[in-house]
Amino acid sequence: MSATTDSITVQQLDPLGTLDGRPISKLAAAGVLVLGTVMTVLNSDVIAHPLLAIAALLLIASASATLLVATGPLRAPFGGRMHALVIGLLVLAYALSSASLGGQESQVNDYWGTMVIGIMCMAIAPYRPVRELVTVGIVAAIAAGVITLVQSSVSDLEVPPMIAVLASMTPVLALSLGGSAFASSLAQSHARWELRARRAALRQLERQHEIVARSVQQDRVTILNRDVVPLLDSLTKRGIVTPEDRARAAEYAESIRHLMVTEVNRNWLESVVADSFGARDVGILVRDPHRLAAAMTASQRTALRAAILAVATGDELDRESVRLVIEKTDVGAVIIVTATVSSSESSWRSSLAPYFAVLRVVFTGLRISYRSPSLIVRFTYDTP
Amino acid sequence: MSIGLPAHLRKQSVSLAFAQTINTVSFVCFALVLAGVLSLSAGDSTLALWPAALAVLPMLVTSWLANYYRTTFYTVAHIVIGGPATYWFALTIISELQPLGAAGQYLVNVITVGLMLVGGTGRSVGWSLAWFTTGLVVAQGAVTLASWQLLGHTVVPPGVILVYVAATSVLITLRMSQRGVRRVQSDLHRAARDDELAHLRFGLEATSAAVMHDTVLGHLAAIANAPFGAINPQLQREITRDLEVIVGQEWLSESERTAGDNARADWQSSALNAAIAEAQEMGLAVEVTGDLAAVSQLDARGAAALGPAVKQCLVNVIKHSGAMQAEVAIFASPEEVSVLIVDAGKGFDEAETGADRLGLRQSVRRRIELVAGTVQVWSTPGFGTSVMIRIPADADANERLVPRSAVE
Repeated sequence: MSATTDSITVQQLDPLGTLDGRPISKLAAAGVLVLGTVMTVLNSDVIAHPLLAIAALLLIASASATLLVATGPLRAPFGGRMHALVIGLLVLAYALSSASLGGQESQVNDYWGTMVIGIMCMAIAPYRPVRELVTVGIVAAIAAGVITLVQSSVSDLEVPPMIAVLASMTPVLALSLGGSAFASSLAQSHARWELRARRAALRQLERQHEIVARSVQQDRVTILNRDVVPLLDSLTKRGIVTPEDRARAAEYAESIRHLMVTEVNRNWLESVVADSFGARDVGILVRDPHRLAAAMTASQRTALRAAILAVATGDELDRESVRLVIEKTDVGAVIIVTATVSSSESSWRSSLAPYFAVLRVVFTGLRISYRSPSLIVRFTYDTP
Repeated sequence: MSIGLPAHLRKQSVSLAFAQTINTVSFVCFALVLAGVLSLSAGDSTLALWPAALAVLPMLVTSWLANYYRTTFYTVAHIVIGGPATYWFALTIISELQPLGAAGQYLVNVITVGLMLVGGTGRSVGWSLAWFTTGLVVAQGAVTLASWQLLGHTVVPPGVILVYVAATSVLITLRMSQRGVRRVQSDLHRAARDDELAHLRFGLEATSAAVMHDTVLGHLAAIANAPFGAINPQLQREITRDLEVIVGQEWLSESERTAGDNARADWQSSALNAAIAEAQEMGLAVEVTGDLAAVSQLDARGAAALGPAVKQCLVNVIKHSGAMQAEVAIFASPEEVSVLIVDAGKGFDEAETGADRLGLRQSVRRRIELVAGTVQVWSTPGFGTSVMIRIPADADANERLVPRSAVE
């Protein structure tokens, strides 16, 4: 396993795949709550402190809700703090559910609380890097072991304390390490594919190089053939410069220079918007006074390009209303996209969610604000 | 960051990742069972649990091998060895721990789950399901046999069945959820291709603009400022030569195609030497110092960019500095080749030069940046100008078509 695949999340490598895998997160969030409720009800006759048991269930419910909300496609990426918070809540819930039993005789089956921690550790696997998953899993397992040890010291256990500790640690360790293996395996598959795809793309580009070069040259030669080549041609044949030649040369030089200055100043974003929206006056749609579009990375360009094309060809947003502004910030640039929504909220949210998921990973600080019918999407990136 | 796996590979990768997850869980189960048996033995010396510990060892090994190699052979070997080992383990635990109790039940359950969770080859969901159904049957069969032999009855623990149902549902959900965003994924891959093509075209346009600037635009300017009458024979020769190249040959693909090969130009035939010679023909006294052989460290693309860029700097000295002397110093490190062009002319303030001044931006800066080089200009009005051009020596560092690393 390389350091790269250790420190990167599956979500960063494959935002759409992670979005696809969200039903698993939902299943896990609902599953732990059901498991907790069912086990609490089944154990109700041995529970000495019902309030503690209810508090434990509430903690599990809040951990589930946090996971569901924080992994949503329109939210900021699921961070390390959220990870610690969700698992921390569940460890606390396990402590409370253990305490709720008081000094009652405890069965190994009572360790459902650690099963809940394990399931959650696994559900978080796509959102956090492998190293963090392993660390949190081990720390949570140790915490679960300590809680079990404390509980076994105050209750009459029919099993040796060491077995009780191992039994409580088993689901946490097995599932969290299993989740880490899942993340690590996907990250490695991804890295392998990426390498192969890069090579293939490079070969493809080499093949296309010739075609593009010919077309670019043809464009130039067509422009030159109109006026410049006849002039230079006749001059070299005549060998004499006339005042009229001088005037024409100056005129052509100026028009070519003008064309080149325009080309030098043109940016890729304007080209993409012009191609997608078929707009003649791109200046109204895109405003980039500091020419910051050029500072985006290839991934950022790709994600934005795909999103622009989706908006231009879809009917979720009013095409005429779309405006894109890039402004300077202290550390980089902020892109602000404004548009008028022309479809129902659920329709634009579900159609655009995959694009937001990708934008959110390649850019920083994606913020979506919607006040019907206007939609504002902001995201930032670093500039050199 | 990247744009994710294409749909056809995603299914396979997810199946593989799931297999590795299952194998890891299984390995952890065996390790914890071993720890449990050892701790029980340590706690009570009257218990003869060492045969159970011995039974876990081969399963740890085959589980690791099955995960490492992920072939049918190792998976089958794991199950074939694991079945009897589980039977042996259950036999030992049930006979030693009378009654079995929660501790014994825990150990037997965990080893059953461990053997049931066989990841297999990770080829497809169907295979994964088949593997852990086989695992469940073999493991539970072994435990049932041992229990029936010693106790005369057997109970299938609900926990094991629950784990089986949970693992199966996760696998099926994973499989079902791999179809939602395929269209978006292919849009994204197309956008990546378009971006690369646009980048390629952008680079070629910039190169062609630089060529146009140095040839056609230069000639037109020279004609516009030429005295009436007979044309300068030198200019006439250059125009004829350039017209032939620009209209008649594939100059753009020519200059780029040599980019990838390892052709090394020595100083005499280098574009830099030619550029300096041309500037000298225009009446500029150029003093060349430093490590002349260093230019051979550049690849063809780097060398092709350096010559015209230095020429443009020297032309700028003639046109704008008011001085007719310049120094070109060449030095190299293993990583890069640097060329410093110094004049003692009147200097300028780069910020105050017109936005339409293309020479420095297009012919020098853009051209050098296209080969991953850098250009620095130090100029103070009244104190001359120094232009430092740095180009990476390593051919790989010049890779600009796709300037992304494997995993960004």
